Amino acid sequence: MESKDKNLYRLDELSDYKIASNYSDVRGWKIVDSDNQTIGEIDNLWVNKDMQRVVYLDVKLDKRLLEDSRNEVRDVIANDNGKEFIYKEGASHIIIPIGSVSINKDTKIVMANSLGYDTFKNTNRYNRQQNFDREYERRVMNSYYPQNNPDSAYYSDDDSFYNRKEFDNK
Amino acid sequence: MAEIKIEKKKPVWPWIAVLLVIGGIIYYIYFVDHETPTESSTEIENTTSAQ
Repeated sequence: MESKDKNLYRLDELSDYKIASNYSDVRGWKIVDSDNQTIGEIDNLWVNKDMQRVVYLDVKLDKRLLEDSRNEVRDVIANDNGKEFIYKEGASHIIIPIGSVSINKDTKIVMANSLGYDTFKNTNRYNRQQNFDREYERRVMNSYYPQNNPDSAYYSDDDSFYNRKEFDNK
Repeated sequence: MAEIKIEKKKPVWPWIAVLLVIGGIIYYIYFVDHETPTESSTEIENTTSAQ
């Protein structure tokens, strides 16, 4: 799970970089879904150094959402219906593309515009101690936007992956 | 849709250098340039005579 070859860093790692003037540092802010249900708190920002911008919010999921997800997995196991098991113990973070949210500077709340509670509940999570790879990014994008037809950028391993509206870059 | 840009922090050391230079100039003007020359020309007369 390396991120160095795709130029993604947590903003905390880059001691010589900061949020540009006139942009909000949303770390520590609450994030809600399109129905105002709490998803979690923004723990960090994943930035692309070449593009000089944030591409993902690193979100620590809310306890209630994690508990709901755990209960769902228990039900799946109890029913033994063969559904894919996605919950990993200790993994409580997800990434959300920056272009998928809107920022309210007055209330200090970030809203995921078209993504619902269940989507976040069922999205693959990762452990904060680890980085993630492009394959994880693809899985997450597929979870958020299953209706999108994969184009050539979807399969690219370079920064052209971020040339789409979900990253507010198209 | 949100967008957050990042930028390189401006280095602090040029400001520290400027402050040091200004401090040096102030020190020179008030403590070196205004120093009045004092002549310690008092001669000590040796009043003891060798016996």
